[in-house]
Amino acid sequence: MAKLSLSDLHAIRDREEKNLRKRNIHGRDVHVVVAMGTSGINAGAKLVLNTIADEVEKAGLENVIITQTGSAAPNPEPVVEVFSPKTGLVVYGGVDAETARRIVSEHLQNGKILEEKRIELTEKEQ
Amino acid sequence: MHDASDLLLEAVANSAEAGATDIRVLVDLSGGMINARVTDNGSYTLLADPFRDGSTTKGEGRGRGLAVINESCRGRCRLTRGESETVLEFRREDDGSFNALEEALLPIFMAYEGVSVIIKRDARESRLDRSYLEKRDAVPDRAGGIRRFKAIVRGLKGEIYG
Repeated sequence: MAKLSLSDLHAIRDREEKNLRKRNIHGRDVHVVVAMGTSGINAGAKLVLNTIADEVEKAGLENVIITQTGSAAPNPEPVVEVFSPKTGLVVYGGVDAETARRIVSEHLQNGKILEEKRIELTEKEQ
Repeated sequence: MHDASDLLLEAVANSAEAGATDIRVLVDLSGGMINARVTDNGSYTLLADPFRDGSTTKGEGRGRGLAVINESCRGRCRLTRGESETVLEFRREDDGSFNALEEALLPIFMAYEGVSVIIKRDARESRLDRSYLEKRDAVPDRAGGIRRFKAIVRGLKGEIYG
């Protein structure tokens, strides 16, 4: 699976922000993106994605849409990005199942950012 | 470490990255082994050894999926390119990762359009495709869709596991 560069991720972010604005019209204004590249899968991204999906379903969060992107290496994976009008873009690194549950219950449901898991994306050195 | 269902996800992502709009997956879970075949209509650049680590047409640091499949299957994989389609096959021991079928299939059907999956187990087989999910508002990328997707996959699992 592809490993995306930071510029790739920025391009995706730009695209998703445009999509996000479109989705606002339909009432889905929060977007969760899980990096599912080879390194992310190796680090447990599939479990994280499934956990987020389960928790979003359980909580009935109709305003949330979940998607995937490629690798976020060399950042600590699994990486999860959350876009919302209230908190803007927040990137989480080293996400496990428990953190995934907290992202849903604290960030998505209550707008509280998990500062201890927040990261700034860095680009792989060439 | 990738489990067998992770390898399928890598294979489907590889097809999607090649621009495939039709991705047909067959997973045969018979006899303690997993035999997977992914057929797509993507566009590929021919490489002498597409399974070699570092062998990629996708740029520096990208495209390790096939190498991971090869490593995990200890070389029991094959890529065949025809005029209009490419077939990736791999075989490895059944690690039980497809027993959690909803978790195995959710990332595939969440992200990739044009995907169809046939799961075979002994004499039973069942099929699911993305267009079916779309018609039933069961693409698992939002509340409601996730619930409907899981209900459909549970039914599918019942058909093949009895």
